[in-house]
Amino acid sequence: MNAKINFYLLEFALGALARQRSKTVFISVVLSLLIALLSSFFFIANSIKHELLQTLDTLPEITLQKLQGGKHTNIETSVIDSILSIHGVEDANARVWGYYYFGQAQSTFVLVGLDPFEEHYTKTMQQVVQKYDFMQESKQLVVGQGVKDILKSYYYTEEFNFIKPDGGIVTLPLSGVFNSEIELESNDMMVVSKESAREIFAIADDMATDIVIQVANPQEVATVASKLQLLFPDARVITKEAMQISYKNIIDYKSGVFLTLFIVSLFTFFMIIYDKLSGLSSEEKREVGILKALGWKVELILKEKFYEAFIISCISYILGVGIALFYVYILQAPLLRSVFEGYSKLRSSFELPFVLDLQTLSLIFFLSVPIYVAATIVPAWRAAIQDADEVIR
Amino acid sequence: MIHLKNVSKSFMTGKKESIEVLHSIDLQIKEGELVILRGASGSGKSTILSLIAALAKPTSGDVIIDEKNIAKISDDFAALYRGENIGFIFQKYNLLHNLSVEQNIMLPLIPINLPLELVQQKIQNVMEMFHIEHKKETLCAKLSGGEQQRVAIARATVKDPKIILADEPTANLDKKLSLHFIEMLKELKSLHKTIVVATHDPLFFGLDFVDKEILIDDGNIQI
Amino acid sequence: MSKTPKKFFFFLSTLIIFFIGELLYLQIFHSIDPEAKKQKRAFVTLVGLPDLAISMEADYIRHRSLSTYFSLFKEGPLMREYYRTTYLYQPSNTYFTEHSNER
Repeated sequence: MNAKINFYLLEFALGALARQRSKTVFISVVLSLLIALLSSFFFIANSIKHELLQTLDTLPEITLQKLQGGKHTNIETSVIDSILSIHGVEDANARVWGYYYFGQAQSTFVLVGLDPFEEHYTKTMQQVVQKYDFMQESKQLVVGQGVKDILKSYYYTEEFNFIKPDGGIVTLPLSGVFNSEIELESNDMMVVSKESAREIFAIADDMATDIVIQVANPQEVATVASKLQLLFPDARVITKEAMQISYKNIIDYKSGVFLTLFIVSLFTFFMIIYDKLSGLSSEEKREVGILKALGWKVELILKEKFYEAFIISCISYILGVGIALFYVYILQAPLLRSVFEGYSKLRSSFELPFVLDLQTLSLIFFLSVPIYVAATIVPAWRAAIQDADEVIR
Repeated sequence: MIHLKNVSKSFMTGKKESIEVLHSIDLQIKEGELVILRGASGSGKSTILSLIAALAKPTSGDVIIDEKNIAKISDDFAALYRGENIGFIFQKYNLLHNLSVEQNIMLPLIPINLPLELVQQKIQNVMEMFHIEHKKETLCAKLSGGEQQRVAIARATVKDPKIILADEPTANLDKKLSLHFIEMLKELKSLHKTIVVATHDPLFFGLDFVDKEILIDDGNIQI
Repeated sequence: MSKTPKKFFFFLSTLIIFFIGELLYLQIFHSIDPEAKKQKRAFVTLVGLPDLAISMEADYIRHRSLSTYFSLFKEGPLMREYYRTTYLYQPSNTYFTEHSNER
């Protein structure tokens, strides 16, 4: 068997594509657009996942929430002592945070209460806040860019009035805005002191929204988690690992819009393939018959068809992915991105970061190229195994 | 060298009906002979050529070429056999019209993947022999009947095959071109090829350089 | 022999060069800035809340990894799904983990 590449055959295949120029261009364009559409969705999803994974390992090892009647409720801070007594637990802190609904703008903000005297607090705030003023730490309000824009549109430029559950008002001065670099994380956030947060949400001093727990040895997280579950049967224990799994499945190919798009793309693809599988044209069949009569084996004829299909599908792949990269990362995916963003008034102007994911590129390749190649070779094989004599007469 | 031994060939015309085109024929052609198969349309002449070229298989009987029976060989071996031994000039030439003259002549050489210089030399030789080199880059669709014929002959002989088969080569030509073809046949004969021509054109009958004329009548050989 | 292979290889080479050029450009100018990454990590360490502020229509959507399954209906029993967001994002997988007792 001759192992070296038959360049004459390759040249013949190229010639065949050039001779059917309009058909070749049409198929390439359709394939490229299909691949571009599918790739765009994959790229946007990957970028969002990549953003999430940047900060995953900084999250608390375990978050403990209390459930009452199956619904989340505040937890007593007194449980911290029991938690700290579990072997392996390094630290446990009560968190006060929640959602504040600003009725005028019909927007929900995330209000987080932090202890200004906590380790790293000032240092971090200086890093992430524009022109951070640490003088007023006990009565402060640091907001994300989205919140600032909303407040400004309602003339809250220097301070903001929170309405408490009893109807009273808590006024806090606007101390700073989070940097644009962390817009994706902080856009709808308001950071206040824990004291202010308790006041705004009317959470008593001995209660908290949840407890975050640090475990010294990551290998022991599962053990500590099960101990916590035994200690507090009414609690929900969320580990960092569980969140990791959650993030990996976010914008899953099985879910919603992704699935719809996938099915539409596959459907269009299979329409093309069905058309090809229904057989070669009489002219193409005649050509195959002539080649057989001239001494071409079936294998060689199929190899030539393989070259044709592989060339078209590879070029379409490169074009399609190239278009998708340009569309997603340079144009920032207009129209398509709004599918992922939702329609909140607090929409942020984040930039989709570029991620080179070879797995995704390989997936797109194997979803497109082999299928098209197979669709071309099958009808060619059917024609090639026919009697040459019948075809050419 | 070519021996059709008790060969019959039937073609299916419907699901259950078939028509027998050759009835137990026995035919022998020696190496280097130029044989004319005479007969009306539908007499079975083209079928005999197809059997010799392994383009079709006999329903019964043996087709022996150089002591090898090709009656029941696989498709791949048939293609290999054709590539090595047969040069076929088809009735309608069966050129690929959207290829140039040079590209059409090159088609039989592609499977064997020879070095480029050798390929170019072979193509040049046959183009010169059949006076078609000035139309090298022209698409076959734009050639006249006579030019297409010359391309067909060039393509059939580019691999220097032992056996040349021609099926009604002058069916679409005028007398002048037909006579020209006969001249080319003479040239091929001088190269000691075994040539079998299937035709009902009377111009081929009684030629002095023809070794044998065989009359095929309704699937039988008339001696 | 013919001009077609030359034209094709020229076209393919150009395409590949553009493609690689595009990848390099994006890697250099559009990847996550290391300074930005540092700030993101510092911020998330401080507040400890995981989800990105991409979909903010309702609190169930906002911190979906910390939300409970029933939160969707808390807004009001007549509320429909927050299309497009819930159509795109799966419900929190933490709901289904071994450590959750919400089976």
